[in-house]
Amino acid sequence: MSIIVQKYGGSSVADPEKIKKIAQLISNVKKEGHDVAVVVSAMGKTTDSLIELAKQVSSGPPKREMDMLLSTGERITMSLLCMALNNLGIDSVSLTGSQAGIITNDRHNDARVIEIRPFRVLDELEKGKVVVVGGFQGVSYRRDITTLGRGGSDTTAVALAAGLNAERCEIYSDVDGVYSADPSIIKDAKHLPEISYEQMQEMSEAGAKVLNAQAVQFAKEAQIAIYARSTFQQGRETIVRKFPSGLSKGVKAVVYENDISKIEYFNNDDEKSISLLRFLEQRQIPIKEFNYSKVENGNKISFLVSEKNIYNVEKIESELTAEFGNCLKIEHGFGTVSLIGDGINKDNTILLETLSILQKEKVKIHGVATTSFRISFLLEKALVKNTVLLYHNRWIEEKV
Amino acid sequence: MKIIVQKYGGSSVADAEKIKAVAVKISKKLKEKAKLVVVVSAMGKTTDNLIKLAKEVSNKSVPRELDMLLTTGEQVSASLLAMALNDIGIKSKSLNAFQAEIMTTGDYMQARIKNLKAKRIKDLLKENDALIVTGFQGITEDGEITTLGRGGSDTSAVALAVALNAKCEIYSDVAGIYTTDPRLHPAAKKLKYITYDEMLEMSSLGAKVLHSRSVEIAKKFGITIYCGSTFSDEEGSYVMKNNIEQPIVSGLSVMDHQTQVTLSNLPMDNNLVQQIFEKVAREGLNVDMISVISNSGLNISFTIVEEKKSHVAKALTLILKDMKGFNIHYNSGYSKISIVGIGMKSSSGVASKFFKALEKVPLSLVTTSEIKISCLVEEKFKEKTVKALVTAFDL
Repeated sequence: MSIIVQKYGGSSVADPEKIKKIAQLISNVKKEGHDVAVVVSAMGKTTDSLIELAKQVSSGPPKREMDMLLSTGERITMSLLCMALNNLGIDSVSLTGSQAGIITNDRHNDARVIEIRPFRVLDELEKGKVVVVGGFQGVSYRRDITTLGRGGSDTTAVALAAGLNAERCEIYSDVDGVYSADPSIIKDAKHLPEISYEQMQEMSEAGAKVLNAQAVQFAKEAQIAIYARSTFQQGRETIVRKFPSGLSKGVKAVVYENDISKIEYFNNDDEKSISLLRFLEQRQIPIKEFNYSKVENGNKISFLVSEKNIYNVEKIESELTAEFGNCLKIEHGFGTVSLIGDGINKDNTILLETLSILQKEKVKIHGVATTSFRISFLLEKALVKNTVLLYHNRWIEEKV
Repeated sequence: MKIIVQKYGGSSVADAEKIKAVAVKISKKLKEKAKLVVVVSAMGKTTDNLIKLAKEVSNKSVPRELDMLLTTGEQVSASLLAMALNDIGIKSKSLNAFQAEIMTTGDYMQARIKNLKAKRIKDLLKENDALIVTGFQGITEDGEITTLGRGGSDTSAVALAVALNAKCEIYSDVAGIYTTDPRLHPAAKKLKYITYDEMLEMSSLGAKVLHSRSVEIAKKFGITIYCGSTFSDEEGSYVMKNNIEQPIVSGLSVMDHQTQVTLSNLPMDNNLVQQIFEKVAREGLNVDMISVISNSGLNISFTIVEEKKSHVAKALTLILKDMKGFNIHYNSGYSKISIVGIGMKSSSGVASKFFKALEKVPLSLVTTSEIKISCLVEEKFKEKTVKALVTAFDL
């Protein structure tokens, strides 16, 4: 028995007509003789309207309640999809994250899948049913509903594919795969037919919305190939899979992320730095690009916070200020632009040339961070788009 | 620990502003040194909108999936109310049926609560002031999500009150139970007390105040239900064992869209009668105003709601397929109007007063029980009938 896991994103299930079309697509795959498990996101803008509702009733909604609220979106889609499948004579069953055995830790709003117990899914597949699972959601060991962060339905799909030992995992959206840059802002972005797990993971962590970072991590661990395709347009696809490293050199993609805040904290006691980090950990705020340095009269720590999975920014900020006072500097309105490529930092040529481009264009840099697959620049949000264009011209299209 | 169970209906949580107002109302109640367990319905028209969506993707009904779909409505309102409470400094958590362990049978769309121990709720109440529980829904032993039928949130509330040995307060946009529907008869009076039996007759007769299953449970366990208005402090009504005021007739209820089914000239056969009603009941059809008369042949008539007509016709055709010489008639466009009162048991002259009041109305059928008299009239006589009865019995 060959199991295929498919995932359909929010724009693919945005209205009843689209849901009916997807039911048809699934029915075709089923009739080819595959066992099919389908993961769905919430319809179109559902999640955004639920977040809006939460803001109307609360200035700082508790994370646990946010997950109770947001997880309903996928449940609506999955039950509707099963009804549409039933209408086509396809036997199906919808399962919540909890029913499908998606067990997570208890970091609400940004939980990580720690275990898949797909017994129920396997039982239903064996009965010949199409199993439709609500993406983005899981259940913690406390039996609380959790969500996996924006794009978390990808993680559900890959984790499920791994748990079911599926032949492949197909991720459907309104884009036909992964590009060298966001095709909605770079019209000459190059389609990438294949990409390695490592590079994809760096892209996702640096802000590429096409695939979720944890999903890629899971795929890498379980060695499952991800096929990123367009739902309604057949043709191109991107396969994310294992590649021997060092085959492709240079910059492969330019990725950006907006709504980044920069936090700096000066003190003369390491204990204070630790208590700031503990404060953020208790509120389950993920941080990145952490930096510690000795400065005159004490220490300085700095890091970035992406606001995308934080639903109560104002509240946390006022608590932070109350607790850590004026030695704490919070600045909003940043973005990052990152270059992604295998061995990008083997020598400093790419970093050097990029810095000189920025200098020539008088773009002010607020920070630089590097890994073996990535160079990221922290900039003012307003400069992000133009910088992406600049980098893409130089490093992908090779027009200087 | 004193616990109060409250339930807020869909119109009480219809938008963000109302949810915040409910949160404030709960915060006031907490000053009575009690912990609260609050059952909520879906916001306003959510359930209707979800049903509409379901109809757009499929013209067949898939009960399991419909329950999966509809139960999201209460989870939205429950989590929003918990957020609003935390926002005003009240420790609160929302619980869905799985978390609240509301165990039901596996009959989708009309499940019945089997078991409610509320152990987790009791535990969580130690560290929270108010727990918000999604109404209308339950879970089977296999972890399947079910719903209790329209109005089922009342049942969730009463069942929780039983499990927690708590008071039960049901809030809606109507400030209690009235002698008759105020929309039909604006001068309707509010009842301070009504007995379980009267309420059961009223809700099965179309008075949409309480889910009848909730009243059955309250009756079985002797829980007094208080029905009040969410947004006014007006005194509401109590549904309880005895009616202290003991009126002869407590209320009048109207059920529209009735179809009278008449079978005449059937062979005399008790077995057949049994078969007919068994089959019709199994289809989930609520049959009322039954009359079985035998003279030259067997004549049976009963009423059903009009929308079930095709179901009934199908069922009857199947049973009677080998018989000849009988007639079936379906007459639609009727209203069933009933007066209900626990005092009828011990009082004479109610029937004569009833017929006297309706002497100018053509009655198609009249049936009685210990505590109710019902008549079937053409819909065009509905208002006239209501007016005459309200005047005669001072409702």
